[in-house]
Amino acid sequence: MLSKIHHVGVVVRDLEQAYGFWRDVLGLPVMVVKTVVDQDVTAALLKVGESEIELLQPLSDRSGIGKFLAKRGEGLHHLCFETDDVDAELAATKAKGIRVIDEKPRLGLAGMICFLHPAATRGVLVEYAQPLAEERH
Amino acid sequence: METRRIDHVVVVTPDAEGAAATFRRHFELAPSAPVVGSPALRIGGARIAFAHPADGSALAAILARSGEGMAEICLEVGSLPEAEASLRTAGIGFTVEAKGAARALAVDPGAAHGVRLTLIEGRAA
Repeated sequence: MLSKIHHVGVVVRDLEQAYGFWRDVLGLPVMVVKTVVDQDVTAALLKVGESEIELLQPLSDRSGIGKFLAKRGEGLHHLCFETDDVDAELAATKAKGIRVIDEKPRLGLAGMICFLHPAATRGVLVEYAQPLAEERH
Repeated sequence: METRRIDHVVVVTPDAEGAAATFRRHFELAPSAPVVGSPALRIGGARIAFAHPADGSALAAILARSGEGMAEICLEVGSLPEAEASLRTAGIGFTVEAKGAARALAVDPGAAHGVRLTLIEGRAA
């Protein structure tokens, strides 16, 4: 079952510069900053109520995030729903015939995650996330 | 500025009812009160609104440029006057817009890293 918006992903050119608005002006606290090497991205989660804003800075123009930045510039990237069972959620999604990107959940910044294909969801890139027990905020 | 929560995100689409039905079916989300006349679904304490934007609007330009997709995020702040003061102090441009019966601050997307971001005080259904 999907319980809430876990985060909204935003692609930025420079994380430190982005803090100047999202952290310093809006007042959102930075909860986690991590580099995900296999995705060539450094990401920060900033808390806003029960949800978070995920700022994504690509580390190369070859990564998915880097290509997005080169093609579309900074901006909204994806919408992540939280679930307490990402395996079951993904299986149920596939059983409905909904096209997915990840056939199996994988480890990401928000825990165990998977992405659905935006062609199936009205152009919205949707992610499911099951936070790891020690990383629930 | 005290920013409290995500009130809603906006998905722009040429078929708002159809897009809402897609999300309701795919994700089993319950309908909520409309957002400025647009159908919306509830997830946790937030909503997803599906907007077929009026011709000439900023959202219509996004739909024309990028197609269907997530186009706006609306955050609830503790005090709109305080938010306005914080934006002015930081030198960030914004416009005051009507969000239903309430006022909203639409932040300059250039300052918000390409994000169309609106700030509201309390619910603006």
